[in-house]
Amino acid sequence: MQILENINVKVEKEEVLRLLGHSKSVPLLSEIERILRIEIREGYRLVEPKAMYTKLGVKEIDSSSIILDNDFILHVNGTTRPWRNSEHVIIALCTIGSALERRVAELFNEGNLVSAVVLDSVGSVAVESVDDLVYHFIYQREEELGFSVSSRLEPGCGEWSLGDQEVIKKILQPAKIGIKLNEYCMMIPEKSISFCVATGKELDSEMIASPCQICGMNNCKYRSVE
Amino acid sequence: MQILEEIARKVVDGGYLEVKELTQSAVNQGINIKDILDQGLVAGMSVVGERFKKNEVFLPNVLMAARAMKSGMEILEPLLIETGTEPIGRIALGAVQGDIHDIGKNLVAIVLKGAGFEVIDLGVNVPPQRFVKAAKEGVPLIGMSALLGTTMPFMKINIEAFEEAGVRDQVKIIIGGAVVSQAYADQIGADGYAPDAVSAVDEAKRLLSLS
Repeated sequence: MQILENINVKVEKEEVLRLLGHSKSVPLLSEIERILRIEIREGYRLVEPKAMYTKLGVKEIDSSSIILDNDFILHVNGTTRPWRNSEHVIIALCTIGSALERRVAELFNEGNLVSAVVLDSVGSVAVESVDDLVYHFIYQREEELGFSVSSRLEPGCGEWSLGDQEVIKKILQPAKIGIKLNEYCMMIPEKSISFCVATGKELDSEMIASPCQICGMNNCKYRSVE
Repeated sequence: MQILEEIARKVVDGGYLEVKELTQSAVNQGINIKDILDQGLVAGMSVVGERFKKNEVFLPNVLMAARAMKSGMEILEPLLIETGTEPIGRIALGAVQGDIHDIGKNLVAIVLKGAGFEVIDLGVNVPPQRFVKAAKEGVPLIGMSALLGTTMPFMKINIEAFEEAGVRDQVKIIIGGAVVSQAYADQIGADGYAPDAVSAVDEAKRLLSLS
């Protein structure tokens, strides 16, 4: 298991604006521009990016689950098909810590609504940035070993039970990077992401495409495929 | 009246200090409190809401307007209570059980308040019994949010809880959240669905027959 700490988070203003629903045709008020500048700077000050990952061999894939080394089982249910030909599963957790979330709550309580919402979006962009950096780090390493790497999937996606966050917790012990699970298997801090990727020499092409392809939530706001 | 138009304009611009000042001036001039509210503050919020729907402004503009509206309301609220003016409607809002994400729900609350609703914030991770309790207490509209597909099923569980408690007919239920859709609302038997905070106001008014 590896812990990554020196992660250079990148927060693009355009991405923050996109998350806030900004369309390029809408002129930005100078006050909103000012708040964006301040909160992006504040975001960089508050983020505490950390990540961890581990690579486990795949022992068996049956109709509803993936059995890993040490007999850990991922209950992916109806989504096992794309995992066939996986030789390993890499499980990763990323977070930006809780300081930014605390500041968002303070801003809300102070009535600084725009600042709160902008900083929250900065946090979302920051944790996605950690997620991307870790994924690409893993991708490069696996590619060097001659493996294909799948797109990212996570418990809660499609029919994959969110309860498997508990399995990930047992495998990775996320307290080491400050992540805990609540009773509903949600990660705290909220700005945390877990993901799994399959690696293998003959990975199924379906596994390399967007995870939205195996998720039945056709109207989801985050959906990236038709 | 010119000052009321000015208040509305400043709400649109998000000028909360000016709105506060102008609202106080309007009160000092003896203008009817309800007129200041309707033709000044609410009128300004309505303009912003319409612009939001046409994609002419985005969320931070709505929030700036809401903040400006709030600064005016701080002056009007005690006077509205004195004169016995009622909110246009009441709604209890909460993120469903298991869901701890409150930003979206808070935004809906802010915009609904801006539109003249009394909002009872039930918080996050709200168990079905708490929603049912609000209905039993006479709140006519219940809003439920869920950010994740994994917590979304609690919306259906809550609707079943209203039915089991015999209060389903007493309330209208509106749902929202990133993964929620009109199709899902129809599927679970919710009365309304709103994709964003501004639409939530329109939908709340429709469900309470205010529009």
